[in-house]
Amino acid sequence: MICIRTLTTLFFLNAFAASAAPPDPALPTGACAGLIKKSSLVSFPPSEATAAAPNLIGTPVVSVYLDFDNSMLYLGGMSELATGSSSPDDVSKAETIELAEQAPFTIKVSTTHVYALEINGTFTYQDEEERIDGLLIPSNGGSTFFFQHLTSPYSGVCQKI
Amino acid sequence: MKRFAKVITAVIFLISVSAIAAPPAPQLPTGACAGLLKKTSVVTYTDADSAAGKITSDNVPYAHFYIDFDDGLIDIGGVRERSRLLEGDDSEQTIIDSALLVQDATLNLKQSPTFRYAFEFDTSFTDLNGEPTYLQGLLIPTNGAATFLVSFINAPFTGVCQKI
Repeated sequence: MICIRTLTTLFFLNAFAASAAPPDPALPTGACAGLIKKSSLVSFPPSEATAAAPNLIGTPVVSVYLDFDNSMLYLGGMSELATGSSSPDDVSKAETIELAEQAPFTIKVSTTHVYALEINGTFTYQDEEERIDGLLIPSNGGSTFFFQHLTSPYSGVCQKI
Repeated sequence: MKRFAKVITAVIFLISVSAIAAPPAPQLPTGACAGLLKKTSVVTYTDADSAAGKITSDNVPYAHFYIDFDDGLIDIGGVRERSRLLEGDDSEQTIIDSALLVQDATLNLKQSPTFRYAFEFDTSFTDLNGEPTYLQGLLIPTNGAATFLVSFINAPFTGVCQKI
């Protein structure tokens, strides 16, 4: 009798585990556009920012366009640069640059995060090879993707165009 | 001759692949959108900075705005954070003011030549201190052109504008 109960419990747990697993996300088609922001806790007080001039004090925002049909990505970056001014109103300025155009990427269902897609790509910026290794988490019927970069503190959202 | 034909074929193929891969030019929007912008600067201020008066009213951390695409106009309101005025007043770290920064400023909008998935906009107006202000940014259409992601080009602000 105990054996039957144990078997029933095991069967129930197995069935529950199977139904609780997230469904594999479908590979997206079309294109999405989005914004990705740096979420680092490293920040600069005005005095440090002034001393850092004329250098970059952060790359806080990246605009992204993912063409899923052709597996090409486009990236623009808005960087914050120290000006050297000690005036709180002018301590930094923004500069927008093109980071990548028609850079190839691959996308697949993540084996680790089964509710997400893994996106990997490379592009060259100022003669340096840069990598994109991130997660796209589909939501809203596959029309919105939350983005989490895996090797740097950037996250954001990409919305079907 | 055969080699020449192959080269021509390869060039045509590359051109057509390039054309297919390029993002479609976004349609210039009509109607109006309203949205919020937030400052994304990595320059931060401590409570001591606030007490020392280092956060001025020009340091606008939030802005709300309304873009009239049909008439090419923009209204911008700001929530401005500045240092507290009274020494020893520890009830607030900073003081928040809200103000209409500009009404019916001319907005220029065109497809971005650099970021082909976006529009570029710019506007000029005189701020509340009488200083000339020039703002330049990107509007990135998504969601069937009902939502625009916004990233300023010349200032660390980002946000979203949604068709009304």
